[in-house]
Amino acid sequence: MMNACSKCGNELLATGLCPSCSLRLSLSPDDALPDDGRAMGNYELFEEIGRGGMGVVYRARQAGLNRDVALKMLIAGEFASEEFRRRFRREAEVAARLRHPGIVAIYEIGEEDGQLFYTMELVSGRNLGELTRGIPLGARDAASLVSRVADAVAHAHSKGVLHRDLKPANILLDSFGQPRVADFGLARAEHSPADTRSAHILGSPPYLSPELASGAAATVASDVYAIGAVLYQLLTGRAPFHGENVAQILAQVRDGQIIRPRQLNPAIPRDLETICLKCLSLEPGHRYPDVASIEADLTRFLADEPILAKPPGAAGRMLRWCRRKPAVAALLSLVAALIIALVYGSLAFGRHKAALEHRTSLLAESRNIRESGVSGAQSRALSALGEAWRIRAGADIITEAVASLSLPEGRLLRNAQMEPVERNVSADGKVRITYADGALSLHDGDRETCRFEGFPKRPAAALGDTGKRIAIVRGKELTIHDVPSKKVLYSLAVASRLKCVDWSGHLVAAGGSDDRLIYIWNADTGERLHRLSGHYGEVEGIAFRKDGQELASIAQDGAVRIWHAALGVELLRIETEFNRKGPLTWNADGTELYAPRLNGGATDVFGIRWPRAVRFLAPGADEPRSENLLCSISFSNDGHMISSMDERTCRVWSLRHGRVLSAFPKTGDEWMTARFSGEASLWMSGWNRALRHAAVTPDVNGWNRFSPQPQGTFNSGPLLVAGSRDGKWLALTADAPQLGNDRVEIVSVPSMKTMRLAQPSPYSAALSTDGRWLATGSYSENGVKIWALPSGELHRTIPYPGLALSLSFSGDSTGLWVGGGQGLQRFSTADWTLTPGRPAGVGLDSVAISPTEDYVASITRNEVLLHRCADLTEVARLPVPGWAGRIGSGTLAFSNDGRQLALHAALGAVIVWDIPALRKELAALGMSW
Amino acid sequence: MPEPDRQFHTTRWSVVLAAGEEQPQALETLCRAYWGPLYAYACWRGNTAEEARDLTQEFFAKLLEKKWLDGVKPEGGKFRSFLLTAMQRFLITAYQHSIAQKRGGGAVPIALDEIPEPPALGQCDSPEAAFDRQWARTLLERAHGRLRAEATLARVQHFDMLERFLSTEPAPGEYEALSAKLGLGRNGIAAAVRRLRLRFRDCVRAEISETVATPADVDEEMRALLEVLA
Repeated sequence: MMNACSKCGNELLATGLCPSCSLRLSLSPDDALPDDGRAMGNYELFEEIGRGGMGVVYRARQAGLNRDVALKMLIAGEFASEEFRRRFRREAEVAARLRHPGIVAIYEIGEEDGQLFYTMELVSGRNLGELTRGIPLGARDAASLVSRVADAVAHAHSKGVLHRDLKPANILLDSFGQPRVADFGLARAEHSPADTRSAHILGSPPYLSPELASGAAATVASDVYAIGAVLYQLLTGRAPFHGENVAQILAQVRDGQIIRPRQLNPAIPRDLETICLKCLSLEPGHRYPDVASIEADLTRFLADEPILAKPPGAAGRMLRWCRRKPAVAALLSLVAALIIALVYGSLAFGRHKAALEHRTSLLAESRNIRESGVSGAQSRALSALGEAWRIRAGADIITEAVASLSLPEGRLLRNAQMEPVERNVSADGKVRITYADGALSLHDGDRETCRFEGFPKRPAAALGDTGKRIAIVRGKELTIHDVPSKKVLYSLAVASRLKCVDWSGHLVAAGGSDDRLIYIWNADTGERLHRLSGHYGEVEGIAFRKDGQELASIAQDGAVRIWHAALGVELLRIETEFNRKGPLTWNADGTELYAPRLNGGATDVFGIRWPRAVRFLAPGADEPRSENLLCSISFSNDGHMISSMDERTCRVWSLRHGRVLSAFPKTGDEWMTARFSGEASLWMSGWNRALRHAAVTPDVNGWNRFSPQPQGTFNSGPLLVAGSRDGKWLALTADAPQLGNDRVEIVSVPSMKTMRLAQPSPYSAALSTDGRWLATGSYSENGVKIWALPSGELHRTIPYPGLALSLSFSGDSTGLWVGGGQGLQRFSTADWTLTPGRPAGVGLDSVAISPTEDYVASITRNEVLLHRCADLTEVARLPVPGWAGRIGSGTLAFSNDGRQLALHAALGAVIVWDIPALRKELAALGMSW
Repeated sequence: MPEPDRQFHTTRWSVVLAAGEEQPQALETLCRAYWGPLYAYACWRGNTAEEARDLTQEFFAKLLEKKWLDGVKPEGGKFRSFLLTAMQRFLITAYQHSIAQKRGGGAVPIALDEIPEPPALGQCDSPEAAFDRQWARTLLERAHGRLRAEATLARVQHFDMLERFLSTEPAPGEYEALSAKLGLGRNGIAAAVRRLRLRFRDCVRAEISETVATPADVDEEMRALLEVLA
């Protein structure tokens, strides 16, 4: 848990000191002497009364005049940088030009021993920030205070001075309760040259106007905005924007997503809200033209007169007012026409900018909608994105669209008079459950294979895929039995009574009553993987998507929820008003969900649209990727399977089904890499264990079966890094204890004859599809070695200028792509020269090249980047949702046909994009890359 | 107490730079001290705590082989910038190939009992900022350690009770309350705290001076730290 400094919010050091405060105090050690009669020029210093970003304020007494003043000096003292000193002096000079009852007066600017300071009027009361922390003020009080503040700021504007950092903490209350604007800390004369060229954003994030947050220069409009923000805080007790950190707040400010004050405090009069929101308009042109106009409107409000600002759709109110005061209205309409003409002119000027701002807010809106995770969100988010795309196309919109398209969508289709029946057959269709006379029976065809007795009522039960195991709910326990021996494999106890259960692959799920939780276990190990919370009522039914890792659930709260059971995350929520009861069932292809109502016997049919272009697969529990990053993932030739190598297990995933097909647990680190090679072979290898082979046999139900234990003992030690498509060659890297023995081994299948090719510090290897070439790279030597097959002779060394960390041949064997520290290069296999017309490219991380040479894929912290192979321009960013786990230094792989791209993320999840399908979905939205 | 400038005669980084050749002990000590910021940087770059630890270890293994020091020029300046640049290059090019394990588990350059808690990343907005921040924290931690050691040696009275005022200001009446406990007047306490703070500043300067090449750089680095922590 982080301990933060109560003064500045910095995380404390292990020693309990605040790093920032200790450094500051060491630079101004005299703060230790609060009332020791320390002097600064003509002033005697007393206690500290305030502290800001760069200055500290003391109560001080001016000798001679014998009056109390506030003395402000730089925290860093003589250590202050020149920029700080300049800003500090400017602040004082600017503030000194202002004389107004609503502005704290500056008396003197001075310097003593290199220490700059200035003195000002001592205002004794609290500031507005302290006054309103979480507590809204009365509407009239707030209006009155802000109108005085506006009057003071208008005076400053008339002198050419912007405040730039207006916020409640900068508005002090004097002993009469009147506001005094202080701390022109960031103020700058309107016409002096800007000295904030850099990206530094000055000001306080929650009160910053969107244009300032975007780095634009301050204007009268930004002060107008800040006054609106102060009014907002007085009315609601909170700042317009909240966030965990500055970046978050600034993003919100720029997006302009504001909660209307009346939503937070319904007691606020509508007119006052209108004034406040007009100040806070995203677009400066929509705000009051100047601060004096705010003051005028607030005065009208206080006098119970109609205000000039209009809420959206308030034309009616204006009309009413016109009827009441026809003469004034006529004059005003003339003025209004003039204003409209002016505004229109300036808008034309800024229309383009406004459109772009609108685009930004659409993008933000779409993100918010998507994150709500409710039914209908996807279509609304996509429609907002479509609109944003029409304003200006861009990769940012594609990224957000892909994020939306990565989630399921669902809605109520119809109501049916039907009585769903619990699925009582194993996934392979062979074993059936029946209940009669207090006993649960399992049947294989007509033959009863097993019988569990002693159930006065039919218990919830689910069969494993092949009917060789069964999970039965017994009160607060789920027992998993072997069939037909009935031996209890696991007894899984939970805190409350379980009501329903389902099973898919290695995942078994059960829904609870009082605790309203859904539990997910690994059926193979009995390990509890997740507890899914979200339902407000007893969980009445759960059902896995056919063969998948996604799970649907219904509860007495009426909601239908869709989860990713292996990732432990909710994907979609469909709220309905009807209490539900089990069983919950799917139609055959998993596109319709049948959810019975508790009372009435009717069943609601929900249509679920699964993502068509992206699939998320996960081991269930976080399991780091294998330590060797090469080949931690590979596609089978037909693209229907993926192998992944994690810390404890080698898994084979079925992409047709969307779940684990087979898992080879490791007892140590014997297998570190795995690859499909040839039609029906998975190969595994490791430093400590031999190269192994697992044969794949499709079964009658369309599932692939693997030989239960990998076969064969070949040469041990080297790591498998490449396999030829035809299955005839495997390439392994061998890091020997002596550098001279380092090599790449090339194994001929099925004879297993091995050639040793000298390659110091071998790292990468690739086999050409036509079986003619082997390319190898090293992590200590630049360049790529090309070996001829089947002879194994060194053909040549290509002068790649850096370490060749990734190698891949094009699908047609005409090109070799080399990636590494010196960027990406393509060599022609005809003469091994650099392919002309292709830029050398940039350094990319964890690169994969599609065999069709369409895309280069690489990773960032949370996205997969796609560059076009032809010119290496970036075309798209595929977002990886946070719930799929961090990418880390994930591995990427393309399927042989170049259609599918898979990412093996840091904690074992595998994400697969079908790129043509994705482009098709985007095209349907009018987007393309 | 040595004058700050005098400390440059023994500044480790400047010795390393000036020698232009192997100063393994000095460099290793410095590296050991600034393990944390590099680790923070590696975490920020999207690695797990374990990966980040391994990467940082590998980085030092390579660094201590000295090859990377060859190109460094004395006017190159700060140890902080040097380490950050070297780490950036390392992470880009080394590509996480496990060299330490390659020959059956190499020597571990820095002994660690356990993987440190990854730093909270929320406060910074870039890996570089995370590095700088962690650097500043490490440096202040070391300065504080130095002050403590001095205080113990010099038998500074009531150090434990006064120490907290290094980073907090006294609440009204707090000195008075302490004064009864310590048998010192409140002005005496205030003076002691002041001395402590001044001494802490010297300790910070001393720590900084080990990581920069010239005395003139100390003040600049001090300002940089203040801004990093602001």
